[in-house]
Amino acid sequence: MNARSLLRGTYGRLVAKILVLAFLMTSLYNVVTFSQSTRDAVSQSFDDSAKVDMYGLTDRMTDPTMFERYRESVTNIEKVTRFYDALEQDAPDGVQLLSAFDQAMPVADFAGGKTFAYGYGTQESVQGPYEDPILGTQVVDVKSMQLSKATFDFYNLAGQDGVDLDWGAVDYDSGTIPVLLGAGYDGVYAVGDRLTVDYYFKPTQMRVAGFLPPHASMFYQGDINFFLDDHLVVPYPESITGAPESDRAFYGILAFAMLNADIAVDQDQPDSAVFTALQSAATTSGFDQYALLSVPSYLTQFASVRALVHDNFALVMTVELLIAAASLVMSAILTSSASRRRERRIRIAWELGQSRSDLGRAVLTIVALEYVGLAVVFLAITHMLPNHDSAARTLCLVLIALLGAASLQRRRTQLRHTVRHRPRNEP
Amino acid sequence: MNRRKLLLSVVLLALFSALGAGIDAYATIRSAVALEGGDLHSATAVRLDSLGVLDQAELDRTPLTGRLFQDLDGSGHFRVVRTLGRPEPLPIHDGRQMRATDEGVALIGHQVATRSDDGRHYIDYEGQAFLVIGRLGVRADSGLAHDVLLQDWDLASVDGAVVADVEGGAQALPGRGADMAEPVGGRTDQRTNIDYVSPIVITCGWALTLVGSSASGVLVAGFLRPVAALRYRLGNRRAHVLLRSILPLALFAGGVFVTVWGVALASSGALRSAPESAAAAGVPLVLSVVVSAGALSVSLWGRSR
Repeated sequence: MNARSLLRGTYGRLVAKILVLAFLMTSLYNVVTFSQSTRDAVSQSFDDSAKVDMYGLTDRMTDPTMFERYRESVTNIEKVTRFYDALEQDAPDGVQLLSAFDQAMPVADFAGGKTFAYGYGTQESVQGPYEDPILGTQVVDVKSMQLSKATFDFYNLAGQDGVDLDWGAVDYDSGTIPVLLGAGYDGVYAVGDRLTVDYYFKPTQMRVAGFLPPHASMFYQGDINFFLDDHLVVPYPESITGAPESDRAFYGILAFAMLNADIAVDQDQPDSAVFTALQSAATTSGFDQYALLSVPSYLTQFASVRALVHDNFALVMTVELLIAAASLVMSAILTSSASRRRERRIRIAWELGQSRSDLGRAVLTIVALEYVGLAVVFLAITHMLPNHDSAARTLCLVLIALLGAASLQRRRTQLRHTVRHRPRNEP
Repeated sequence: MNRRKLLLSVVLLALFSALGAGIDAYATIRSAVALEGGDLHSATAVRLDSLGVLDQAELDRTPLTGRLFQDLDGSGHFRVVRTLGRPEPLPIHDGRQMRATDEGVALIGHQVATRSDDGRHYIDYEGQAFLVIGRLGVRADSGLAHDVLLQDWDLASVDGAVVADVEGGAQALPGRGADMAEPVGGRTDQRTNIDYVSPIVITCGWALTLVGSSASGVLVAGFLRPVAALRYRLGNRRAHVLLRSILPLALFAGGVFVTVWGVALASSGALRSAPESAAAAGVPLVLSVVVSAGALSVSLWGRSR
């Protein structure tokens, strides 16, 4: 008795079983990649350490002429930079200054498309290319985000493939600043490329140090879903106190830009912690033209977006369980229906004097056919899908092998049962 | 058919009917969660600088499905909406969805104050009263707790920016919409690969449902075959034999359908859509019965007395 004669009349059930299990495995493969991406999203943005009370810090120089006059004095600028340093370096534990400012950055001979232009996709309108008087060439205002190391670390931002910003090498006086580009810039610029920009009316070179991973995000201006894919990420120096006086205009604007910050206060800190920190910074620096706003929307959004990410996860898991239950039940029914039919033939073959090992081999062939077929169909489907995750694929293949082994074990037992106590006419 | 086979048939029918209904409920809730995570815009929504770029007359003639939004106070949380066709349901936890024909109605978040009158809730805007028909958010304390959606497109200004979220994306918009469109993005969904995984899971689920219910049909036909063959041998006409075999099966399928549909409606809350879940629960059953009848008639018409 060979496998083919055992299979006769059960081909339909064999194919149906392979298909049913292949759908299960394909969905499982994708759910595994999804659960990995959910874990990454939660650890990037929704870790408990990011559950903080957020405050917004800004200056009170709303009047442009007053702002201009204030910036003319070196002493005033020193006050601002000392105030920043005091908050950045001497703030008590649990209080963090998260300085970030999104700025239209004029880039000369920009190679990217309009999606990178400042204002694209927002309520603001997009300005086309124009002649920049400082650089004397055509520029495009692109989206950029200037931020401090504390901000970068707080939002768990990091370069792709372990390529990171060397914060120690950020030196604005050198005229070259290492920058990270959002994932959308992949293919537009490469690591090592240099961009000529007009950074607050000062011609500056920006060297591409690396790329952010896709969908890197931070909380900015009341929006927790602020994605940096189309942004130029420009690091702030650690401190600009004692900057050369020749660049007073540049550092004057930069000092105020750096003052645009959120203050993250750990939830176990008293409400007064942030006021105490600001007051002591104001006393040591002499700068008191700041304004503090409470940003309750951070915690609300933090909670609701985290809940949505978890909702998605729970939904996908529920539907996957449903699919798994249905396909396993169906596969069991198909198997038992087919094997009942095969059992009759095995019994007859046994009574006709076939050896037990021959029958065992035929059963093994059938199981191997089923599960190798399943593995092939699964690999073919996942090969056609655009995303590839070898770990998830290996996991699914191991699962297929385990299912196959369990099935073989079950059929062997069944075979033993079929031929036991069954007399046969030995020749 | 003995009792074991009868039970097995009913289990098979119920299994794939429940799977179909379950996947439909999943797809509905999932799209609501996606809309909630994207400020009520889907991943294909686009922003247009002004409503004026859309050809208004053409817009009324084109059978579009989706929504148009315009911000009323600059906050992004107080919007006027126009519903086109029957789009994906908005995330609500109470009340009902807006229909294209509704005028002067509002969907609001849990925290928004309303004016109560005769047991009905209203929200006033520019001297006009809007009847509150439902509460936004998959759950009460969601990110939409302070949002207001008013449906009265006369409030929209021609110069104001609009977000158009229609099936087919910007290309489907009449007028110069497609050239001026800027994508708004999938927002919270961008954090994970859910946009990519969810359709695959739904496809696999439906493929399993269809293959499974067809295979069930063939299996059940196998259960029915011996008795049917005997009846035929005893002199009954083929059509009569077929009818007597399939009718009880169809009755069982009807019972399964009512049960599964009822459970599906009861468990999907305010997001439910009766016709869609009926279709999702019914299609696998119909398929099983039809395949079963087909397999049985092939075997009946293929044999002679």
